[in-house]
Amino acid sequence: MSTSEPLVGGDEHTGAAASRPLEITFAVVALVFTATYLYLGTQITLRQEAVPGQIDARFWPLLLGTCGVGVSIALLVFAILRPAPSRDDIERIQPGGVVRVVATCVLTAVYVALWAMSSVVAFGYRIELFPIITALFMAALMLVFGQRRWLGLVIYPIAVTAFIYVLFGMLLRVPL
Amino acid sequence: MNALIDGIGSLLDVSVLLYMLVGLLLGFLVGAFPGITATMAVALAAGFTMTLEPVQGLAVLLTIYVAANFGDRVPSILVNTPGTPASIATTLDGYPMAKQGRAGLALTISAIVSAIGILASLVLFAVAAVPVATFARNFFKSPELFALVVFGIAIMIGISSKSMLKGILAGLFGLMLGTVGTYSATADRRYTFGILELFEGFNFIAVIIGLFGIAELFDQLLTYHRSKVRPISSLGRWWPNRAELRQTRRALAVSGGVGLGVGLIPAAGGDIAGLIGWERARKVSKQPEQFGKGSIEGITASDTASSATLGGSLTTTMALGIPGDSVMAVMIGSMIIWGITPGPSLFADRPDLVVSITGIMLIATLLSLGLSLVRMRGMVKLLDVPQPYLWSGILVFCIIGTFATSNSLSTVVTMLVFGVIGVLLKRMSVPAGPVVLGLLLGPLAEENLARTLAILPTRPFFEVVSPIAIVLLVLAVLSIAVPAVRNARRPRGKRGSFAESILDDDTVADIEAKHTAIDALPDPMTGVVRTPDELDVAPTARRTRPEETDK
Repeated sequence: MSTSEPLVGGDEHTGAAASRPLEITFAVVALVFTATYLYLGTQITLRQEAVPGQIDARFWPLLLGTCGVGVSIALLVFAILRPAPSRDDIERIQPGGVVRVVATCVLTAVYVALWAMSSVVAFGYRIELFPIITALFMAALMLVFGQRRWLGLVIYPIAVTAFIYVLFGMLLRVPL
Repeated sequence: MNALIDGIGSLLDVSVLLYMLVGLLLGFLVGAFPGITATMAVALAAGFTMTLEPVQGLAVLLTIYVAANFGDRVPSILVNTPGTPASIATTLDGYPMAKQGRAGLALTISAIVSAIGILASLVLFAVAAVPVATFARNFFKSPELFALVVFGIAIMIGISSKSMLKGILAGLFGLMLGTVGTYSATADRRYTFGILELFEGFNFIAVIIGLFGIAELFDQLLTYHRSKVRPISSLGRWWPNRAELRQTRRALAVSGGVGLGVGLIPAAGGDIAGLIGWERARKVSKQPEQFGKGSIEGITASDTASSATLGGSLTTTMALGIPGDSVMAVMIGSMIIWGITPGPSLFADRPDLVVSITGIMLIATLLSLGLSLVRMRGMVKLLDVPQPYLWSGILVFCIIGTFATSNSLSTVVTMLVFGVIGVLLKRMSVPAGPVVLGLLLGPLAEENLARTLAILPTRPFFEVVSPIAIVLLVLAVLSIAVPAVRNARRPRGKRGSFAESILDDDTVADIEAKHTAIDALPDPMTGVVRTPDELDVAPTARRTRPEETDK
């Protein structure tokens, strides 16, 4: 890993801080989600009305949506009125952590987009993209995760890519 | 008799043994690497095993399940970090033993008692699975099945949640996800937004790999910090002598019983059993003061109890269709894809599966025990593998594994989306277990509720809804209400999930004091063995040997 990361002992307390704004935000997001779900539940198009005494395709979603809205409102009320609950059991986000996650998500999105192209024609040859982009993707990940040695940046990505290609592409015949 | 022959016969295929060896290796590795749980590994492997025959696939998944139960003890003992949640209680006495120069002994005893625990639980599975399934098949109709699903989700919420409201929200979120797709009774489309990929609902494997694999990976990326704690490399003596083996008897019996009982409770896994077993064994021990200081009884109790849950867990999963723990929730998803639906009718339709599953678990346990006893020295080196290799490997295998389930990149996108959702939920203390259970069991609940409501107007209420259904619904309410009330009565700063509240405050303080004294000791040199009583003078030792402590 890069040397800028904090070095801590195993016994050092690294729990996340309690946060009322975070709890309120979470409750609001939950309320918006469940309310949207409930609204969309009322909009479900029925191919046929249910026979009296039986339930149709809307019943269960409406029941869940109503319960969800109720729980979300309760969460919001508690988040506003009560002190924020302790988050000692959740590890604190370390410097560089968010960057690592965002970079990983971006790299993965680019990787999936390139993989969707399947192959390209260059210099008169059809070149299969999967092995190339997989090795590059792994090397980029290793770089983001702080590896600077050739073993991590070159040998490991190529070895893993070769293993995946042989196992899935050739033996299991997954259309990679 | 035919079932016995068929069950054994399906195992007499060399490919099954090969798949078990793959599972053994994977299970040990995931167990040994802290942060990679058995649930994550089984979710990941589920993507690769979809094209296999059911018995072959079960051989991989069940062996991972068993082997992880052995591998996870290594970091608990050598680094004081549980390899998976099931080995949390192992750290209580395993690490102190390692600090005393008795790591080899701790590893060996742990492996032996884990094997005994699993084998005892297999007897329970072999004996109880068919009667439980038969009872359920005879007496569980639609109202009871609906109540059973509600009970399963409720107890998962009660056990895994710190905040019951967040747990309920997680369960509801899972149930809501389960409504996406085509409603089987009327073929009405719900929440599909015209997207073809959503017509059959969310891909279950993609969701669980996202929630358990990618979310865990992202959380590690967020919170990773270099640790100066190194694995203890001086392992000392390996084999216990007779006196030490005698010490294990009482703890083995008490904690074994605890593990078997806890295993039968849906959603309660090895982490809870390990802590309860340790506490129970301490209560009946002649030397309770030694617990937490490197007690052989302590490590025996924690590891026997957590391992003995496996058979019970398997019983509720296979016989009732309610996952015994989060690994089993993932396994149910895989089995449904193979065309096997766990539940009361499974063993009536496929009685040979009981034999096959028992056989796989038995062989996996013996292989894991063998590997534990011969390869522990090599496992120590594994703990030094840099995290970036693990992270990038896990991510790529999650992507490829998910893609292999449907040969569609949209599944990979689903997995990534649920990975992001999963890490956000995790950061907000919302458990993933109820989400998965809701998604998995939601359609079953809806179907049985619909049938119940259709029958209700035609017959008297108590003729339709039996006492079994009422008891299950009452238990469902209690499994959420009791932890909520207990939490509400505790001081705000000390509220936690069920697993966090098993040991009382005095016990936790006592363990912390003992471990602080142990941490002050330097790592053992080769051949040096300390007795637990030396820990009583640890603060003095620390003052007189500061240069050693700095190392």
